[in-house]
Amino acid sequence: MRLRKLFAIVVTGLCFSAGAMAQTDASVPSQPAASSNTTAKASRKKSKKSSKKTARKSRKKKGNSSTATRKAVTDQPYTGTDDGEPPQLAHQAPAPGVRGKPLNVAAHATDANGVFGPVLYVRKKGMGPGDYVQLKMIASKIVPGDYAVDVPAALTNVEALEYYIEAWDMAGNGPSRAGSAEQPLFVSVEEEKKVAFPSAPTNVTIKPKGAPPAITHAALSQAIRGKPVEINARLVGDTGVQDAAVMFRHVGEKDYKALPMGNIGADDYTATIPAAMTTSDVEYYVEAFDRYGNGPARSGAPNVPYLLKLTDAGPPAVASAAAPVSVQKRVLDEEGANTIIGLGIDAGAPGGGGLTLLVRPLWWLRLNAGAAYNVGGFGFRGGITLAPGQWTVTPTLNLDAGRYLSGDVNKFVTVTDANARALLGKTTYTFATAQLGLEFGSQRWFSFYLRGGLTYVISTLSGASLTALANGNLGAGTTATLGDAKFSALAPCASLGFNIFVY
Amino acid sequence: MKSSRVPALLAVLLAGCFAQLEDHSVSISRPLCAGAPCVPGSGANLNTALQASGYNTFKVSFGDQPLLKSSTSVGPATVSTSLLVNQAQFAMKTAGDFSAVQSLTLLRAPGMSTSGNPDPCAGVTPPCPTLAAYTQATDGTATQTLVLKGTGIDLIPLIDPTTHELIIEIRATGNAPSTALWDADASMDMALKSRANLP
Repeated sequence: MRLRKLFAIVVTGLCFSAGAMAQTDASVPSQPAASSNTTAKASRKKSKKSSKKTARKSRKKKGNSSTATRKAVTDQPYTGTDDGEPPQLAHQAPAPGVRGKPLNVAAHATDANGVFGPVLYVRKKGMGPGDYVQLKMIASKIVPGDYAVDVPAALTNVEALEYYIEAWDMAGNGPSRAGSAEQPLFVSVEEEKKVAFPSAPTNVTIKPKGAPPAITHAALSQAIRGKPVEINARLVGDTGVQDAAVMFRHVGEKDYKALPMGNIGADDYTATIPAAMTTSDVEYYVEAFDRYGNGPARSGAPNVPYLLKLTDAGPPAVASAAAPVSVQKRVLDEEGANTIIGLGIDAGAPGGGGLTLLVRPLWWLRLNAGAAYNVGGFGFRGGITLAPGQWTVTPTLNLDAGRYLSGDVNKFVTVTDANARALLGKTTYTFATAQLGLEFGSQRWFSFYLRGGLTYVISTLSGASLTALANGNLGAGTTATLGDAKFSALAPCASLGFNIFVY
Repeated sequence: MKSSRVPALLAVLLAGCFAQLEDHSVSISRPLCAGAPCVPGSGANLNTALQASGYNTFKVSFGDQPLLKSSTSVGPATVSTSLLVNQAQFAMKTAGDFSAVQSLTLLRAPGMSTSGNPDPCAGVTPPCPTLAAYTQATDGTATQTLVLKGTGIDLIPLIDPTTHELIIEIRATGNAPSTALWDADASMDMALKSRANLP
């Protein structure tokens, strides 16, 4: 028993000593509470009942919860020097809180005896005096005298809070208040402001550029076994044609084989199933994309292919008789439209006229060659025409060259000198012409055109003829000898004519 | 294209249009003597012999050739012609040679020589233009043919526009051929170029 009493006395003494030391250290304001707690623990057996009684009585008497707190504190013995002054308490109202979020309330309290608390009393705005909830403010470990506490999120789901703060010193002087139970401070609590994230971008459907090409294909229904089968189709697309292929398989097979189609001019494509593959009936379809990958456009389909029956004899690759008449007509019309051979007739100055054979290896390119006539004589010529469109009115660039093999220029000029007439009566020349023009009508069938440009003419005049001409005019005793002379000219030219494509 | 640009473009195109005749081998020739050999020789001083005989000048008649005008208008086109001397030569028609000739020059003379004015180019202002020249020291000794280098002069403005004649004077140093009388064909090689441009 003696040892236990001695131990209790020593511990109590140490605790009081520590508490006294802590009171002088304002930087550790929580220590008084801790020491009071420790003291309370040490004396709890003796004072517990009386403290509770006092607190209850005080609460009933004053209707103020702060009194109970204070009584609990003041019941504890204070062993330091009492300055008799309550703590200096300063408080700045917090910024409006956010509902559902903790609200931090801070204060600054100092006292020579050390500060107890401070305590924040908080309630929902408009509630009664007995509804305050007390929250002990925590001393800052960084700034001496600063205290703060977070009002729990559970208490902030209101429109506003009312509160006040009380603080005592360790000697029990106080309270110093910021606000009061009767005239509490006010802080509003607002709805959480939603972060204004940029609204999701409006979904813009970007329409793929271009469109799959249109396929015109006369399905083949019959071919000769062991012979290559040529499959043709017309593929027309504003955005080009790419990856055109004939997909084929033998009847009974599951997978198709791809046979690339090649362009054979204009919009026409072809592919040939090799003879080695035409051993039994074939199913096929045609497909193509445009250059942007739009597609595939198909004639036939994987699940509905064309059937090409292979026979040991018969017509080579005939078109399906089952095709609708309208389709056949359209196909024939369009095949007819793919004319590549025609005739051209033109006349102009100074080039004369011509009758030419026209060949169109590419839709934008025409070749011409034929006979030329300029009243003075005949010649030949050839050239190319670039037509960058197939419109009703199409601009063209025409480049021609040719040669007149014989010509009598005397038909155009009046010359009395016999030598001069002889010279002009055997005129040959070579020419090259560049013209811009406009063609009216159908590029595929009939078009009329007007052209204008420049022509370069080069001719060699016979030295003998020139010698004769010169000597005819020379004075007596003088003779002249001339070599061949070169005549060249660059002159404007114009022509008109028409083209007829017949095949 | 603006309408104002169309005529401008056409004008540019037309401005580039032309017609041109070129003959780099035009040769005219005439003998010094109308008939029998007539130029004194005998190894005498050639220049003296020529002037004394009056054969130091001769006419070349080009005739009324349509292009032999420096510039003429044909419709909207302007025709310009040049006749440049490439070279000239004397080809001996008789016995003898030009080996004793030290130099020989062809000048365009203002007139034919006369007894009173045997050297039409003497003292005239401006000096008679040189058409072609031979110097034995640089061109080598001539024998049957004496070739004179052309100066590139244009003959067109030198031809009399009325008579269409060109009077040529011969000046020489050295001695005449050894034969008593001799004759040679005088000729000039020229280049003709006639070009018609739109104004």
